[in-house]
Amino acid sequence: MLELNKNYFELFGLSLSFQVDLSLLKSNYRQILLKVHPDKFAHTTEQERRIALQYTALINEAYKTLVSPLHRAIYFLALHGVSINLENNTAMPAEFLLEQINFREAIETAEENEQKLLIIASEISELKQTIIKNLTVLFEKITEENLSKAKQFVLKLTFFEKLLADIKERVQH
Amino acid sequence: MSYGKKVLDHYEHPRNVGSFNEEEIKDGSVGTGMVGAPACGDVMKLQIKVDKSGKIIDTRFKTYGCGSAIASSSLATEWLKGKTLEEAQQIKNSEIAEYLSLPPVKIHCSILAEDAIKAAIADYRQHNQSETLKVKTDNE
Repeated sequence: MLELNKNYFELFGLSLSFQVDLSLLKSNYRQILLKVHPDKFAHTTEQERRIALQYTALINEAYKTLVSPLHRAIYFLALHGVSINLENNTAMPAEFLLEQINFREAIETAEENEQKLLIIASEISELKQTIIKNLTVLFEKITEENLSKAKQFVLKLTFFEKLLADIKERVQH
Repeated sequence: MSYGKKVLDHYEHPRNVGSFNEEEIKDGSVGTGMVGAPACGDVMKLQIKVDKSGKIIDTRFKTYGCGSAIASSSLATEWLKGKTLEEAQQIKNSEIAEYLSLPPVKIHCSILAEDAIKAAIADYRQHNQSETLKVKTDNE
């Protein structure tokens, strides 16, 4: 049962493609979880219980990674030998950073005005969707050039995700 | 996350916040550095105003990010004042991190500040170099 050597796509019986059928992923995830449910291991050995628990943790991590386009893209790049190195990558294109600062200022000016925040959020979501579309195309043909282009898109995506998370937090408060 | 005393001080009372206005930038004495950290989505803009002798006389910053990123850039703008560009170039992220007692997970905030300083210096040098070149070609 332990399939620690399989990659996340293989774990869920998906083909190695950036485009993921989310409903298939979800249903396969649920099925696997049922198989390793702690109730089924109530009368087994300590070791078997421990393995089941480890497997559950792995499956959860794999699901969390694949369900998010950002984390799926980072993982997909890693499988192809490209590390993002988020910690030390600070040189983004100037116009991109300017756009980020403009968004930040717009969010700040909107304060707690939910309607304004949601308008900004939809604008950011659109940019995010464009990036995901670009990634989908780039990942269809794995070449060194496409992977390096994809890496730049992934870096940008992290900023948009952060903006959306910040807006969500403001709206909820 | 609990922040250290020095981080809190800079976070609550950030120094040199803002931007230089058009008028101040017009004469080419301002260098602007913009950097961003994908790890946390933080964005930092740091500006230096340089006098004719190559000394930094004033600074500004705008940082959208966590307390550590704000403190790192606020501290950087303080340290930059009075330094020559060469001295400013020597500021290391480790000194910022050490001064603010940043925990390991927040080291990237100080890296961001160091990179912003370097970017601002590079920006200043770039348009001042082209200024000199322009003067040269004008004279020819």
